[in-house]
Amino acid sequence: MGPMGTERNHATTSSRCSLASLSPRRSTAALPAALLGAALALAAGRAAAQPDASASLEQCLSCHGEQDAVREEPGERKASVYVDPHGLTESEHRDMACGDCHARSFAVDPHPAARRADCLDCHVVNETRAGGVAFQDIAEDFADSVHADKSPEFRCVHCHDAHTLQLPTTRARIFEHNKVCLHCHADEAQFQKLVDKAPPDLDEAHDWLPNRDLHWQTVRCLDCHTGYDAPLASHLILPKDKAIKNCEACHAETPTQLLRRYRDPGDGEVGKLGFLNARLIDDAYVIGATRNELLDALMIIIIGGAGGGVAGHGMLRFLFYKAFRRRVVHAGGHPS
Amino acid sequence: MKKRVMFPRWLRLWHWLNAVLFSVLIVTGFSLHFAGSGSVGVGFRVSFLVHNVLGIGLVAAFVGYLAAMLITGHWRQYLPRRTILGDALKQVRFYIFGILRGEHHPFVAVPERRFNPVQQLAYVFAVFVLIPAQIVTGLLLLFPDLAPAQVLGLGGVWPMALAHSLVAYASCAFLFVHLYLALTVGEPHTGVASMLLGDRIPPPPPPATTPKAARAERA
Repeated sequence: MGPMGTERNHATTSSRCSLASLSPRRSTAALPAALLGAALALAAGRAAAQPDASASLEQCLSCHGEQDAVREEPGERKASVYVDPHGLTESEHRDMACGDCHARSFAVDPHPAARRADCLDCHVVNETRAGGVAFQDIAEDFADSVHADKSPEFRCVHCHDAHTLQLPTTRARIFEHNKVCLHCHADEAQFQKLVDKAPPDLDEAHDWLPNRDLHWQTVRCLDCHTGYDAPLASHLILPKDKAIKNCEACHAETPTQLLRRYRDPGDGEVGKLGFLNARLIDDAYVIGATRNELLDALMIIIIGGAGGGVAGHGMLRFLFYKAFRRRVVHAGGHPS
Repeated sequence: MKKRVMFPRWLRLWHWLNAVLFSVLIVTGFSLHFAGSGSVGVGFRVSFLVHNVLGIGLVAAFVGYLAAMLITGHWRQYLPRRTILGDALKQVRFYIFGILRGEHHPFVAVPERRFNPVQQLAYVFAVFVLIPAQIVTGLLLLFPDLAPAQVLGLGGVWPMALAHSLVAYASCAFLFVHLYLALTVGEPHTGVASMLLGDRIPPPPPPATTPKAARAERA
């Protein structure tokens, strides 16, 4: 496995648990188990933590903030219900209460699986935008995507963990971007929660890429795997045979597609030392896109100088030769 | 006059191999550097593959050349004479003035000393600076993992690319001047035919300076 699939963090783990609880199939299956667990806990005389329907963040995190917090699932499986407290305080949703999304009675411990609101319930209705993109456009992009096509159960939370969600803005977080995809695409069990087949072999599928691992470190999966039609909301994941394989999409002086994709690239800006696309590509060297005005000027001076020099020299020799002929003919001699 | 071999067969082979490699590497290199502009007309992926393969070919050809140079003693051609600076000035003066007036070349090439002083300086620079620099930077671009992660606090790959581009431009300049001199200056022993066939064509006799000598020449 290349560098794409080497790391996981807790964010993806918690996203996995929310995935389990969101899926109607799983939540209905989990409910009796959870109820059973609650009944057992009460029967054992364990004091309930007295959370109620309007449980505070602290109350929720008193259990869910523990890394080993799990929920029992059918077949002796356990799903993590851990929520990273630090990620939560950093997230875009930090000012929200748990109950804003999770609705269920928390009066018993352990409480039944909390039903979750769909992200679009708030975001489309309130016409909110993410990174300048309207959620309505995201919803439309997604509806046309291979994700929606392959699995009717696919929801926002399968990729985006609402607890740790941050707006993707800079290229410094490229690995964070790709981790969203790898969460399922590099994990067969996770992948098969939504589709009943093995995920494609990423190493093999990307073998055609020169310097594959380097591409993986510096390019987002999205850059090649989403459509570039308006409204360009980055959620139109294409079938694999439609993925971009045109090198010049990025390897160009004006990498149109990349510039359109990264909304904060300093478009057309000339960076330090005359580098074009400097903010877009940071320190990376991208053949064709890392262009330098000084270097281009030097090219004209060096090559133009040599070409012009020999052309001028040849011209001089020709003129001198003609003058020589005239002199010789004028003197009555033979020019040869 | 007995013809002597000016350019041995291995040297001619290396020369023409280089000619092909240089030409294609320059075209594909420009295609990569100016990718997407459509100015060169060779697609990125084709250029990438061809440039890498021929780049390795250039390395192999250069290593072979170094070996042949050591074995045959050809390396002595690059040893500058003690009077190199004064001689080079004479040669430069010839290129600027003498050549226009139809003067003879100040230095006659013989198989043991093919380079004139300016040529010698140019070729020492090309063979021992330009080509090795191009090979080193090219290999580091081909295997970017081997490049230093950081150079002067910046990414380590782009300085390689910068140097690679600059040397490529210098190589283009070299090629222009080389072609101009080889094709137009009219030194038969360094001309294209000579580089193809390897034979030294005897230099023309000096022009007759007296009527008597001219008559003798015509006779």
